[in-house]
Amino acid sequence: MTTILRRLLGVVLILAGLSALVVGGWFARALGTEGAASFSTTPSPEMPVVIGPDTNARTDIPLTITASADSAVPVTVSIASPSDADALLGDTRHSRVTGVEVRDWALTTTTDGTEDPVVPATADLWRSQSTTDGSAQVEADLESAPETMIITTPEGSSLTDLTMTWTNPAWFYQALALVFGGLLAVLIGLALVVFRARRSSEEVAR
Amino acid sequence: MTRARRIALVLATSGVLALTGCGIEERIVHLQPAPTENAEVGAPLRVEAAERIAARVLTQSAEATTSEQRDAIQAGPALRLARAKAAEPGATESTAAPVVVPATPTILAMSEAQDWPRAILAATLDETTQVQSLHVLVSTGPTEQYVHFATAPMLAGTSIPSLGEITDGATFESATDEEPTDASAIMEDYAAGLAYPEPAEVTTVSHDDIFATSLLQNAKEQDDQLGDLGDLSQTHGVIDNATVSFRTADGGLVVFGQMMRTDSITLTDEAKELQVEDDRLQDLSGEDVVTDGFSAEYLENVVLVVPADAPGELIGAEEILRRAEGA
Repeated sequence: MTTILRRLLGVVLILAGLSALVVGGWFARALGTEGAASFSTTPSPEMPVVIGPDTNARTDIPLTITASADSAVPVTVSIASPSDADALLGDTRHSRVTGVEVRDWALTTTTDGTEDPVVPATADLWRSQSTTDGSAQVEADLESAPETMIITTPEGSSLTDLTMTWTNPAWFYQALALVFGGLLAVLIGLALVVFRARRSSEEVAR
Repeated sequence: MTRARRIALVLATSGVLALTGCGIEERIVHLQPAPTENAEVGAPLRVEAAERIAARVLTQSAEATTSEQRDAIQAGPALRLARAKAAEPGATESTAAPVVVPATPTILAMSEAQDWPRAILAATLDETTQVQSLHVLVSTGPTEQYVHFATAPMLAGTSIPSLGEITDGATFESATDEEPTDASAIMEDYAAGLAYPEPAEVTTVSHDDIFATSLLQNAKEQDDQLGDLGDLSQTHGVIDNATVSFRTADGGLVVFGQMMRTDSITLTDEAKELQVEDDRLQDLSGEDVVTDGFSAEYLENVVLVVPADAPGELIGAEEILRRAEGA
């Protein structure tokens, strides 16, 4: 009875260890040595992209948001308080980032509103606003949270990519730890199964 | 099972459990609830953003030379004053408002909370004359940009009290025709105390300032010159929806208001005629001699500081002739 339990435990350790090995390896490869977790999406065309505090302020890990468009297209990042942003957006069409899908390293979004998209340049409620050609990059500032970011391009143009990158070097080492932990579990599991099996065979032969 | 093998087994099991256990995702990602916003406190803008807005609005306001440009960037008392300046004798569409781009404005206060209307109180210094002016910019909604609402140059030797930390915001109130504010009563009292020949006795605001004393003194001199030939009366009517105020740190008020001063000269039977000697009054009224009477209207922008426990005082004023007619 004890032998069966030990073998069972060995098999469980092997399976769990293999899982940890695969998952840890996958994360280590995706995060890289910098520990950068990047999630991307192609925003809906010709409408502002909205990133609220439920996405940009859920963790104290540094976040960089990069919005890209064709090289000559000005990309504007406007930052306001959430209530101001909501008041401005009203029922106008916009795409809102709602979260991340880790398996695909993708941002999840929803599209809201029915009226014509707003033009942030005609409002005076921005805590900050910047425009650059081709792409724009903004760092989330947790000290100023909660804030809502609205990313826009001029009428007739669209963003080609939106990427949110959380960077934590510790993540790479945590993924490596998962790999080594999994490896250890596999080895112990193998030892439990193989060694006991061999010992049992010897005892039977004697 | 040997002791070493038992320890290895326990370590491996606990390690796997720890790696796959509940809450590990939150711990690794440092996941926390989204911060909530308190829309009832604090200024709605950062100071740098307010400075940019004030610089843009005041520059556009100073450069506005057509009625369309003025309507787009000015409102309320500032627009009324600009229209009066544009209508002055000799002014044309293109020369009505001198283009004086203000220096970088200093933000003195912003309205608190996220409600509308929102306001910015800014000051500029004219490097040439060394006269400091106070400006109120107002935004009426999330899609409405700030516009230039009120302006008045500060009187020499006056100062504005602390309005607290800019980022904390200051209580801003705007009076309407239907709903007066505390500041409306102060404006009414100040206007009543300027009336000639019978100024009202008021205790809420002082009339010892140079603006009030000059007005009353000039009115009396003019009335004395008329003698038995005519009577001068001077009234100051507060324009209700032009009154706005910011609450100071000590609980007092900084009040911006606009009044319409009306001078009326009624000639007596002893007077045959009255010569209108002032060129501007002649141009506006189209008369250089009148036989019955003469009246003139002036727009007056004023700024009052009202401490919480003392009478208010005038710290800024500007007056412009708006209309004149005689018969």
